[in-house]
Amino acid sequence: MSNKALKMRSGEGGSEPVARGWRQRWFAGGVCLVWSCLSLAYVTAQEAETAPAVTAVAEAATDSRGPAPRLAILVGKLITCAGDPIEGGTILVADGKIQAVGPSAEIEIPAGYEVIDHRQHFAMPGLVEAHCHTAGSGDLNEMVYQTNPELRNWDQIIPHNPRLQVAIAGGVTTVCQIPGSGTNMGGWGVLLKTGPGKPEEVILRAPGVLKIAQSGNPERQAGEVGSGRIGMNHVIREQLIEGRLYVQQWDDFEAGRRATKPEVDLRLEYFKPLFRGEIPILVHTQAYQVVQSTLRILHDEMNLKVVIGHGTFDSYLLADEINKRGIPVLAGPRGFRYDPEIGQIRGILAEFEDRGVDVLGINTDSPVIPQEELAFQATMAVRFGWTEDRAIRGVTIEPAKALMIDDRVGSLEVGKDADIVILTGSIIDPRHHVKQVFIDGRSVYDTAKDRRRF
Amino acid sequence: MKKESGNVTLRIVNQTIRRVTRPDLLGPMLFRRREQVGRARRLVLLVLSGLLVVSAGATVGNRLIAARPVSEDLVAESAAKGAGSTELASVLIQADELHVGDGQVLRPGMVWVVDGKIQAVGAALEVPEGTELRQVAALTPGFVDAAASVGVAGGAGEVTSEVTPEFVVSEAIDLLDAEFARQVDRGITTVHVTPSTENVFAGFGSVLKTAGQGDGRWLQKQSGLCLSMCNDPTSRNAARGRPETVYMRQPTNRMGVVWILRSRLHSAGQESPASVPGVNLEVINPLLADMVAGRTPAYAVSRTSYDIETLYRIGDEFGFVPVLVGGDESYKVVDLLKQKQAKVVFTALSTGALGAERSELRWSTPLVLAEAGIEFALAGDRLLDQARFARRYGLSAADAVASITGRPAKILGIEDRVGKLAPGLAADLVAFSGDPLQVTSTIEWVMIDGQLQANGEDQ
Repeated sequence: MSNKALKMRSGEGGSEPVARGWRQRWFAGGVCLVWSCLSLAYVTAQEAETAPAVTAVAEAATDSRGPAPRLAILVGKLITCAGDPIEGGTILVADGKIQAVGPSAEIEIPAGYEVIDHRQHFAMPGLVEAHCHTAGSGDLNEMVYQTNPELRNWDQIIPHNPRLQVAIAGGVTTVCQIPGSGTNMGGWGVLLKTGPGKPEEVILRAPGVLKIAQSGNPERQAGEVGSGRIGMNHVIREQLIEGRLYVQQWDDFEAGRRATKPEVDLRLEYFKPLFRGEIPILVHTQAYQVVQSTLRILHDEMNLKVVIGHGTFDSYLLADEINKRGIPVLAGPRGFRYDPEIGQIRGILAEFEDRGVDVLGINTDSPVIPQEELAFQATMAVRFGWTEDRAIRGVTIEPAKALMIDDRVGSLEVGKDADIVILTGSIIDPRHHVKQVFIDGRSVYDTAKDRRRF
Repeated sequence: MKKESGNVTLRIVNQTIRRVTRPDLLGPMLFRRREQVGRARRLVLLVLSGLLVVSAGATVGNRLIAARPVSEDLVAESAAKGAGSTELASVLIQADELHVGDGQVLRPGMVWVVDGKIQAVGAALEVPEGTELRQVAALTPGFVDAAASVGVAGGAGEVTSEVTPEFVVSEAIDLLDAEFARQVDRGITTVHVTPSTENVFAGFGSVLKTAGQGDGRWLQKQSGLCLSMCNDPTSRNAARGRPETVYMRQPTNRMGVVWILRSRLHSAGQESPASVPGVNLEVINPLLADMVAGRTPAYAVSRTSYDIETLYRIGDEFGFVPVLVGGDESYKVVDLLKQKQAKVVFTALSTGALGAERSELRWSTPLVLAEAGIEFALAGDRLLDQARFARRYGLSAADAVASITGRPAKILGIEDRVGKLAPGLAADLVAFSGDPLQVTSTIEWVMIDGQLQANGEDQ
């Protein structure tokens, strides 16, 4: 851990980065090394508070959003994303959850339910955005180090901010807000609803994902480690190995295989849910060669729940390898690209679909593409050959699966969060627009009362 | 009471000669309106004026200054004697309207000052013969600025490291700085000077009087540990934008600020914390541990609603409740502040729609805080203007005055010394020509520790 330590901070020194020129860096590294050796002689078990790993949504009792009403929503066509569409459907909502959903003929509306008549309209699940930067302040990239596993971004979210309000008008109800791709490991992202509420009320999961960027944006130009793909892969791997060792120590301790309690290292705490397979790693990986590294390092070597995000360019050529490993692909920000070899626009989603990739979706990378245009990216991907039915799933249940929140959102099924979008027709057809949106069973947008925002 | 105070008066008179000789103070009082005077020349004049006053003081003897309105004459006379401030050993001030500083108002009210301290306060007081009388339209306690940046020589931050809790701003405060006199003119008699916000752990603030004698001016040389849970610490990097090399230091954004706060606080709670290059844990960890344990107050700057939420989230994680400084968007998180029983030093009552960090400002924020029962002070330089604007946007007159006098003193933990008109407290007074909260009213005179201060033009 000499100069590398300052770059990616491996090592049990838990080293706070203070790099001030080469001499000081070597000195700092030396101090770190000496301390590490000394510390081995003083291994003691310590009581220490453990950082909160996962925050849960607050109980409804103290909910600032008010009580969740009991609703019976009648719709002309019901697109559940969990089976075939239903003509003439009813959705019963209570306590913010879907209580019943199906053909109107089969569902009796109990007393005390407010009936909302959308029989001229479609209903579908709220859209899920897997790659968002507009749910908080602009604090995207902490640029001093290439790997930043100590950073989390849920302290900077701004619930229901003006951009999210427009996103809701585009049908988006859940977003994965992630750090930027300025470094190889930008930090931990958060999953949240787009509606109003306190942070603890809108957060679906924190940490939501680990953000990794494997090429392009994190590249540096001064000949340091991480200036090229060899170096970048190196620092990512080293950082993950350090995290895996840390989690292993705790797993061993908790399983009784280790006597002494490991010390809490806040910098590595959030690796626990990652290496325990509870949350995925969202990878900014695009081109063929880079996706190869993604599969090799993050899946094969590290055995992580990998999600290919931002999967543009020619990575579909690796579809066989992707399928073998069952890895979800979320393409975007756009679903098509100009292929210089054939002088033609190709549909990326269509290419993945043709090659049999199962969990397949699209993302915007908002504000690169405005958040409200998530469905429009699916539309353009359909324009270039993606199947419409797959495209609707590709902005709802498929990203929900990739983010491991499909037990909560992504489809209209009993027990799931009542995140419901009412619109004038298929969301893939750009002539239609959103009429009303419910999040956790509460109406958060209604063109009958609000202006039509999108 | 009469008999008792007679003894007191006698004792004070006997001390007059010693207390008038304050060469370290007299220089700036003489020259504070002449900032163009060169430093070297000032130094010479300071020494000369000091010599002058030692002799003048001996001749003043036990003479009490006769009652009359403070005017240019008095200032001129004081200046001629080499003093910009005037000793009043025993004086009774009668005010048509007297703000106690805790929300109470007496109409009329009286304050009796003996030996620089408040002897008694009431609607009517009996005092010994020979006590000087002063009449004013309105009287308030001296204002207390709980977040000031006055008088720091050479910058209030040391940005080679982002973690500098061992720094103390008092070590850089120049008691002779002309800016103190300007604060006096504005009625500000006590200031909490805080280090600059460019470090995550910025260091200790200091509380002092804006005028007075040397070391006697300090109320707290180390007030509490000042933190920055805001964007400010990200401003000190060697480069901006896309990185081409390793920067001087983390943080470059708020995620980094959060991390440095959390990692340092975590380390302070460890028995054998991991070493950090360039950081002396043996020095800083006890300081942070004291703060977490509540032995040292924490003053934390946050402005946006999400930073305020983050601040208290970190407080929860490590078990401390900081005083919120800034609080621009505190009106958005009233429930949280109530729940935490937060104390707020609100510094964002300004004419801008957007504050620092593009925070969204509201004129009515003081009213919102008051209605929610949140303990707050108004701060940030022109305190009187702030109280007037807070009144304009709905805050009661009593609350408006209290929020620049008694409330900030309480938040700073100096309420037994300044901030109110109550027996035993320092005689820090501001006299007005009318209702203090009317823009047509002017400050007639300012008294600090019983000393009348020369009245400048800048109010």
